[in-house]
Amino acid sequence: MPNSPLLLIVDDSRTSRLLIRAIITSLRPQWRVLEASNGAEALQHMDVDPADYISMDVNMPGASGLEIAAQIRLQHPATRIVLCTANIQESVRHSAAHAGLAFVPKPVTERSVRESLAFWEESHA
Amino acid sequence: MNVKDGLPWENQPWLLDHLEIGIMVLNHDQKILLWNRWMERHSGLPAASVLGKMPGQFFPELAGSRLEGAIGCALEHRLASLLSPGLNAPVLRLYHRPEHRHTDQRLPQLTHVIPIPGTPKRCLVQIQDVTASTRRETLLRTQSARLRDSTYRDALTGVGNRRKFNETIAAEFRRAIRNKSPLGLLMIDIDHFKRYNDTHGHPAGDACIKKVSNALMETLRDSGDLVARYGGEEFAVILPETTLEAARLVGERLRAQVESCTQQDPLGQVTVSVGVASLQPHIGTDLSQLIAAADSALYCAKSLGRNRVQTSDDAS
Amino acid sequence: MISLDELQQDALSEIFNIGVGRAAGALSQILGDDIALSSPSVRLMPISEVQSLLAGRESTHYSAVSQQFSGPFQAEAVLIFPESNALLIVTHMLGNHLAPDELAEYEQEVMCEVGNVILNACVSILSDLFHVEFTGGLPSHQYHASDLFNIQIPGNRDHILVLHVQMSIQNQQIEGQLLYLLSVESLQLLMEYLDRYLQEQGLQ
Repeated sequence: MPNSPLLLIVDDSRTSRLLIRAIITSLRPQWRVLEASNGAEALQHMDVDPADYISMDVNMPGASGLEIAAQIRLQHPATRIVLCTANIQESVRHSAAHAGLAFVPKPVTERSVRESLAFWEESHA
Repeated sequence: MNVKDGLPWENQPWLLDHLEIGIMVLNHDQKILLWNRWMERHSGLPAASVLGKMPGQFFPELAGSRLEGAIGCALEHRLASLLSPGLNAPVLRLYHRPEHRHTDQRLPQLTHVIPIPGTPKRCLVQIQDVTASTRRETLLRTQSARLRDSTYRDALTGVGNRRKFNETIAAEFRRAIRNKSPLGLLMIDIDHFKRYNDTHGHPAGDACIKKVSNALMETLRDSGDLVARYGGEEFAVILPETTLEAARLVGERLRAQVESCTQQDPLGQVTVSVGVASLQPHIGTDLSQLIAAADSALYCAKSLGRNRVQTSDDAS
Repeated sequence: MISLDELQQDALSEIFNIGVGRAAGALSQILGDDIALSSPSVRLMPISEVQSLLAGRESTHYSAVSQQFSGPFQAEAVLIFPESNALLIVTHMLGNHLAPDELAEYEQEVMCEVGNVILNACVSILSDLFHVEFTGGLPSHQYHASDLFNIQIPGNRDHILVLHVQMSIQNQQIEGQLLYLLSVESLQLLMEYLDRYLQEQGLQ
């Protein structure tokens, strides 16, 4: 299906990537899902095959998810990005809101993924 | 004593009411099940008026506080928490004495939040009034601050003493090495002080030293430079990040200030001689080089006729 | 000796990462400052090797806060700060107006509370994800040991779960290392819960 939405999961934890992928696969079987374990990999993916939606961790080795999200938004303003992070401090929520990103706290559960879905699909309603 | 439901302490109402700590038991829905007499006394709220209500209704500051989080943690996860008065402002409106209520001077609180075993989930909030120990700590802190202060202050003039000078110059010297910045030093001596003392007596001599130190302090006021009494009639001024030329200008300002402020003095004019040195130390430089350079510049100023400023490169 | 496979290792790291994130949230609320806690590295090791994690660092004294947890299995969690870091944290929290000897007096209480926040957060995530319930006791400031061997950790000293976390208080550039030791009566049981969780999520 050429027009099926593409989701990019950026997270250094394999468990979290697997969890998000498993839940998405059951809730949106038609979606394509790509994974990146750090920011640099995510940028490469975006060059080759820009994703419609991104689930972005914040604390990763190398550049932080906030920085990467900002870079991606410059080149791909239409991509909708959710920060999915264990870092629940007020300052991160604030930065997310400021940068036009959604904020969904970990742990990854069906509920947290549904929350992300609501944000990703909001504009397509 | 007011208890609802069958709780393990039901048979000990006397005990609970005679504890010198506050006891509040919350049900799983955060409603108050127990409120001992200590709580009544220090909150001014009788048990009958609070039982079955949530503490947030009469302790508005609870909303969003760490105590609220701790209660949630105990009721949801059965985990105990400790809230120390050092890190937490007193959230609960509890007063050591009734009159403190008017100024909202709350008693300092050491709070433990402890989950109660069994179902439904409940938790015990235990509050200790640490007024006495807080007061003791504050007192100790004030005393030790005063003590610390007096060990570094010259009793006559109120400027730093020799010990303060030694510690400050050593620290500034290390900082100058680290920052690769120059460190300036002035040595200031009251001219003909022995003669002044002999002529006018020791009390007048003391007053003269005070006058000079006030003039120095006045001139250096907002600069953050340190004035210290180095010896009997000798002062030192430490000038961080100051080159020789800049230090000489400071020295000249100080000399002029002493001269002008004692011009009308009935006991006669007082003047000072100033020795100026500055160096940019590196690892291996000895601090005594700087002090020796300022000292010999001062000696030079004295021998060239006093009431003058001399730099170390003129001296050498 | 029990060992962790790659997924178990990653899952435990992520679980405690979430716990540490919760702790940072709570601590930043207390401090009014941003706290950066690094993702923990999780390892299973005998107590004798824990010492080497801290060896070579400038501080040889440690400040330890411990807390007992009981539930499906007994656990004791110990949080270890090199002492110099503990003092920095206390200084930051209480302001700079205290002399070093006074700081030491406050250290116990403040470290207890900081430890309490971190230890509770890490245990609460376990109970959330594993659907089990632990009851947590109050923290105690245990030891000022110059040697980690003096730190009494009950249970099997061959199987200690060690989390190594870097902590910095952002506006103050205070950096601290902290070690979180979880000594469980039965590590086997912890692993069973972990595997069950992974299976439930369809990952194993």
